Amino acid sequence: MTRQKLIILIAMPLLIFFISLFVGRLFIDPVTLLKVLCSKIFFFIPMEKTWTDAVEIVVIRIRLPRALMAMMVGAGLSISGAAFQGMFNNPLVSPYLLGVSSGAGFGAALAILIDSGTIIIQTASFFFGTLAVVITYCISRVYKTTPLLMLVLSGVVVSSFFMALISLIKFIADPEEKLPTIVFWIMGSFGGVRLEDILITCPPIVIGIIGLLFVRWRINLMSMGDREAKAMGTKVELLKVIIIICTTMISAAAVSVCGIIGWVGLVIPHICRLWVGPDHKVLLPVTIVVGACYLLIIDNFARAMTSSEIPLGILTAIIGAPFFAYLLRRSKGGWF
Amino acid sequence: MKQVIKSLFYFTIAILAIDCLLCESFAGAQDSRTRIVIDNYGRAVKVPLKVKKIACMPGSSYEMVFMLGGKDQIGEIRKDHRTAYPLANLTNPDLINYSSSIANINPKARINIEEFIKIAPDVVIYYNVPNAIAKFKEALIPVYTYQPNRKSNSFNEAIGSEKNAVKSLANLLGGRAIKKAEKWCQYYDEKITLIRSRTEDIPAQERPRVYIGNSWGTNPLATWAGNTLIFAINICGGTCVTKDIRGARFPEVNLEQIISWNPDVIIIDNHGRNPGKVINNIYKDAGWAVLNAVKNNRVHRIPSSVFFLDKGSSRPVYLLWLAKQIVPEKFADIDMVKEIKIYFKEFYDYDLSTKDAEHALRGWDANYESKG
Repeated sequence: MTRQKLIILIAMPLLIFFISLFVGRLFIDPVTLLKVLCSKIFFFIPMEKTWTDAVEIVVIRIRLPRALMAMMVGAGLSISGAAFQGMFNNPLVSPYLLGVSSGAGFGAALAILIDSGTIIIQTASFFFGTLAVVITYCISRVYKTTPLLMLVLSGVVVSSFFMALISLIKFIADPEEKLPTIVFWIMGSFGGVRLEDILITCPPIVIGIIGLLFVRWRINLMSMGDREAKAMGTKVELLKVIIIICTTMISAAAVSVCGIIGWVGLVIPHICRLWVGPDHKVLLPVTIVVGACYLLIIDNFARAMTSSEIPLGILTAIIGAPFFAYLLRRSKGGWF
Repeated sequence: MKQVIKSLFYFTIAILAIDCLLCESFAGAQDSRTRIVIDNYGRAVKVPLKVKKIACMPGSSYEMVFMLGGKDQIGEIRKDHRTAYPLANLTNPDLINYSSSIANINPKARINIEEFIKIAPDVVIYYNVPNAIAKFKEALIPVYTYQPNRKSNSFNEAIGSEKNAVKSLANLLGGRAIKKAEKWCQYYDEKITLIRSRTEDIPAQERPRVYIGNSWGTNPLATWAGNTLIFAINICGGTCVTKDIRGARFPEVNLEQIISWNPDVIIIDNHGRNPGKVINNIYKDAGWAVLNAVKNNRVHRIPSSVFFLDKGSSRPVYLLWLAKQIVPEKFADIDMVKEIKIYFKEFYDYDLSTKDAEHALRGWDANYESKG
């Protein structure tokens, strides 16, 4: 990787993160905002408070956690997508392949239906998301191996099953109260993210990302197919399990807090591959950065474009699809 | 070949003629025992002279029919209406005994027409949903829509539409209901005149900013948009902060947006099982604490009634309550306990005790039980 790319990779997320703090529905003049930030970063230096509580709340408790969460989820979903695409050797794979999103969606819908608080909704969602993947894995396990085709098909089965359960809950749910909550939740939003949520979501996503980074070189071997990888001495089954556990931790945590955010995990890896090539050793770290930046930009639109919150699921593709189409045309599809 | 086509043509003509004759005679036979009523959307509906078995399907339909004195004409209600509104059970002990066999009624649900054929109602009161209405028509079940038009362009138009809805229902019920509807319209006019006389001259910059949250019953960030709400808040002396939101009727906003609006009054919808908890959480949350409404303890829960107070026939009482919350100094002489008791006596024919009235005004918490 060239030095220029490296500088972009480090500077881009910092810059976008910093700019994001200035974007929002409440107008805060940049000097005040910088003062608020400085007063928090250099808390040991006493500073005169010239701003209102509202400004501080908006910057520290609303914009900051939201920006952090968007970056974390964007990074997590993109790297999971890249790892899965490598493992399955298939460009159409997203991190939701093994049913984690429909499982998590079902858990959340169920919790909303029985009137639970945020923490129960998140826990139920995480639990069912993980459960769905465990079921997928168990179905596909034959003779102590898990052939990729079996994994894909079991994923389809489990996804459809949980999707049907979500539809069932939507059908039962009260149309005026529960249904909009469920529908909005499934479309994905960072609207309710708080500082505390970061603490809950951070460990699984960060551990998952680190796990994937550790095995990233071996994913190159897997993308040659199970038999070739085995012939080269890779413990294929163990590697599969590690990748599945890491991606499941990431996606279940992401979905449980922010709902089902599509597109990111599917397309960001391709955009990165276009940029740095198909070597997973380089690709995976790059997807982290690009995914984080992409979702953060999208979320800035979602929260600041109109006075009502726009569901992320809509924006990720509406803004992302034309951009990806443009890249596809320009590269003439020549990087796979 | 020509011969075949010719005979087919004659055959079709013959069938059509017989069909028409049958229809005519069938309709003719019904005429003496039926009447035609025009529903609120201009459809002619043929119903029995005296309607005895009404299926009340939309949210406020039971409450409206009950208010108009039609409690003995109801044959079917929604399942949730049997127990979800404690004041409905209090005012009508028979409520629990009504049949409620039809599951999942909402404007977006597909109806199972066989269920309706099975209960054979005299008329079904339903939402103004063309697909569903077509199905009822196919099954020869009279279907009646009454709900007010939500797309009004002015407050007067909105109120006119609400009054038409009540009059239209009264017309369906017949008998004493028609007088009751007139009395109700008069009551509505009186209350609106009263509210208007006190709020009209408040200049725009002095009007408190009002935010309505919790329209989904679980989330204070879920709000309302649309003209009906804007007009209502305006007439009650305030400004609706969500007035610029277009499109969705129940959009979700973020806390930063609310902070930038900085509402003076927050109204929490009585939806969901625990709006009290939603309000407690608002008071506990550091983010909401910077809002004027929270600082000045002006977060209010919409009171409870036979149906939601802000929907159905109880809207005049709701508007009076809302005005009192928005500009309390102008409505200091209005005693809401008294007002709600009068409404219950006059329109539900029920003596609401002072204690129950107070609880209703507080939103009627699930743990409270009336001693009658």
